[in-house]
Amino acid sequence: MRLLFVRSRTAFTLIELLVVIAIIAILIGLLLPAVQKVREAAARMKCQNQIRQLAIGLHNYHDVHNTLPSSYDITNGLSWYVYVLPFVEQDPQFKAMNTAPGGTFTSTNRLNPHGLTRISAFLCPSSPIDRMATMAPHNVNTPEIIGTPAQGTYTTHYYGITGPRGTNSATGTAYPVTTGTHDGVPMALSGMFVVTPLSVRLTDVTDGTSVTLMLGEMSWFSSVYGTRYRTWLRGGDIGGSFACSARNVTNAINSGLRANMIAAYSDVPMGSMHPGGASFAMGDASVRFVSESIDMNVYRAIASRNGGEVANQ
Amino acid sequence: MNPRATTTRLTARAGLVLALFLVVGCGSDEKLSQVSGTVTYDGKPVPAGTIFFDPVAGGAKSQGFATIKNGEFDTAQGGRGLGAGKFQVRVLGFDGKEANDAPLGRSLFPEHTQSHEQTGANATLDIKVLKTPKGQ
Repeated sequence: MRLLFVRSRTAFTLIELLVVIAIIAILIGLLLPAVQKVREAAARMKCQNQIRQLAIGLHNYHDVHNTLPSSYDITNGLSWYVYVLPFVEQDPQFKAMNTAPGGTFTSTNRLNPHGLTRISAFLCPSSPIDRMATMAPHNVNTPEIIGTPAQGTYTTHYYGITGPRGTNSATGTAYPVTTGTHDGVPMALSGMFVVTPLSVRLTDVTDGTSVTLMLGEMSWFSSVYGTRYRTWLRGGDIGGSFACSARNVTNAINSGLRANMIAAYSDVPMGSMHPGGASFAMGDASVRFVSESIDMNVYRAIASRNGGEVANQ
Repeated sequence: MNPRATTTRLTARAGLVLALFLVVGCGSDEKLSQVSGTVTYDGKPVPAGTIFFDPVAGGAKSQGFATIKNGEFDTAQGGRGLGAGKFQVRVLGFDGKEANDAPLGRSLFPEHTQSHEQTGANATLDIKVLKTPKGQ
């Protein structure tokens, strides 16, 4: 009996202890990357919820005005984000702004102080940048950096889709674009956010709203060029041929992020810091995560509202 | 026959089928090959710009791209390669003198397009953009 008692008090050997520590270390090592993945998955979910709320807000705007907004208001240069504010529970912000033709600010709204208001519903939580780049040496956006000390105005990460630019794979003809160009590139005309003064009604989306892109995520960050973000309320220059609040579908998702390239403003590609693609809202306000390796002809087909393509998804 | 041997053989077959699915399953990723070369405008190297390869319907799927630096591009350098098929090439060229609101400088010429065919092997492509007289 006494012998048994002594045996039961035998301690761990050093080897046993080390093995236990090693096993615990391996388990923690497995757990830590998983925690990081969960964080990113949660951020992506929040991002997709935000783009969905914005798309539902646009549907409510359509219910009231019987049309989607133009990419911006030609009379005062304000973006469509301003006009959707009352429909995404930002009514006080909308009331604080001057939306009269001409406005009280500069014609381009570049220096509108409301640009210093951060609207978190317009910003992807995974993006490292939420305002215009102010850092040297690629401080290429000085006109919209305001205040003392100088601050970059807050931007948005969800953009209207002006449509595809390139060849329609169903008909072999070029998709329609504006005659005016900016950086040598025109704006597309066959998407859901056409350049002012035109606007799209949901009945104009003959390809079907559930297979047509309405909003796309552009929240990637180029450490070299600052990604050319603009203040969220800026729509474009009055009479201009580009929009700050909408982009063409010309270049592959994340192509700018991968090659660190920025050239034509209207063609800046969609992309995000979420691994492997970006979030998009379809015309019926459903949200999809589109892979960066999507067939380019399918990507163009779902960007057009009336191209007559069969989108084989 | 021994039932245990039958079970083992069945398991082995199931494993083989599963392995086949795993190998074949992700067939949507196309095999990419690289393309590199030079871009000149009016006989001189283009200092900065972008080059995109749009797949023509029925051929390759994803878009290839690269940046142009000092008249040279290579899809293996931070860009993406091309599947096999016909492509339309789009080239934008800039003077490389960074200015306010122009990260690559001023545009040298309107978007240049031409066709390209990638056979599946790595290729080289030398693009010569000609200077067009004003009014054309």
